[in-house]
Amino acid sequence: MLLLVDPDIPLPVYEQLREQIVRMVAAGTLTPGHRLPTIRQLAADLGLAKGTVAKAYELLESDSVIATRGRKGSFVLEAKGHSAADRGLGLAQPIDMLVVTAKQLGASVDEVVAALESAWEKF
Amino acid sequence: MEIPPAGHQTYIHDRDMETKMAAVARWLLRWRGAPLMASVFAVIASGTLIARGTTTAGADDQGSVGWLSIVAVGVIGTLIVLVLLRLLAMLAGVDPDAKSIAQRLTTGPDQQRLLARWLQRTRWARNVGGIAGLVWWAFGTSGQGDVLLSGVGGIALGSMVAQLHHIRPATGPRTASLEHRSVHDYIPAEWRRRMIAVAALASILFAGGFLVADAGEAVWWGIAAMAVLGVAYFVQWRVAARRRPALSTGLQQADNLARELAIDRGLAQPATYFALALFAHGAGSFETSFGGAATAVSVIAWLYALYLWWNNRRLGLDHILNVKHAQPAVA
Repeated sequence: MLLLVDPDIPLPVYEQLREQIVRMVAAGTLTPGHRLPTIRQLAADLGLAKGTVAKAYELLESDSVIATRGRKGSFVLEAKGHSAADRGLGLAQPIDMLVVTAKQLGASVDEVVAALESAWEKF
Repeated sequence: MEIPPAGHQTYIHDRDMETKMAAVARWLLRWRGAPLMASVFAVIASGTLIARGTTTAGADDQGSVGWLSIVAVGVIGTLIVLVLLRLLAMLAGVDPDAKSIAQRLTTGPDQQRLLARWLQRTRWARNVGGIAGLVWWAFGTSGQGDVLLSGVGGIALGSMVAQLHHIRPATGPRTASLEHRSVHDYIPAEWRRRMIAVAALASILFAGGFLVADAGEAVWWGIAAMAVLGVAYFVQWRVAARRRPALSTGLQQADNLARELAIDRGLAQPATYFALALFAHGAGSFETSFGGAATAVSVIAWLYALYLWWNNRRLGLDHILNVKHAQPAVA
């Protein structure tokens, strides 16, 4: 389960974190009971301030996506009413974006597939 | 004409120097066996003999004691030369054993590079720490202190320093995994129990120093042993939480292996035998009150610390080099 944040885009970093975790919980890739990294660990891994990660976790907790159990850490809660179809809907928008960008750059389908496979292997 | 970027010449020069040093070190390491030892020994022993001949001319009646001292100087000199050679090789970035061990523990070239770099850094720091400890024993205590305590203390400190590096924060987009990491994921239960047991012994020493008359010194040995274990735990925690970007599965496995080796063989084991050596010294303070029993406890703890150090020497990984068809820990 990966996270990717970009501090240079207009969306605040804590919102990027929150959005991605919500998406993974909704799609079922983060299962109920999964223990999330500590705020300190995630902040270190992403090179962010601890307060930024803490804010994302607070928002997730207030949305009942995760629960924090004291020193034991933060855990994913049961997702509410999401299906496998949501995964397809979630993919459609970034795929459209990828195709449009590839066409603007004049890339062929084979080149896009090769770039996608290379990126897939990286993580 | 294409202008090379700033610092280009310096970079090329540094790399050439590094390559030359590495080549010299490799050549010397090829000769590190019996022929090298014999020739170095012969040179040092003859040098000593000539020097003695010029300063004590005519005094040939010193007999076997004189010869023994020449042999001793030769042996010590040879060992010093070998240690210096190994350090030179490590400074030049040559640690053939580290690469061989990494090749046997992992399969992919990226995994091997990651693990070899960690092994090289840790082994270098441990060697330097150990030698610094021995230098302290020889000159700081004039050979009157405990050589084991100084040596393992240096190794333990070197190990801790080696794990205190960090990865520079990324700029631009950055990735991370949502896997939770903690010290408990990396340390074997056996070594966690040993650390707790030695911490308990150190606490007993600390309390005993207050309660038993004429054993006040034990308080400080107890505090020192607890401090060593406390610092080791702090560094273990730092290693577990150290920055890790999202990696491919293979690199993630190699990174996990490096963290496991750092937390277990690099920190838990040296801290345990160093703290145990400190405990052994502290236990000796109770000799006036408990007599032989205190001495026995002290000797047993000292011997056990020696045994643990022996198993952990060179990170306890060299045996892998003798296994012909080792199964890699990371596929």
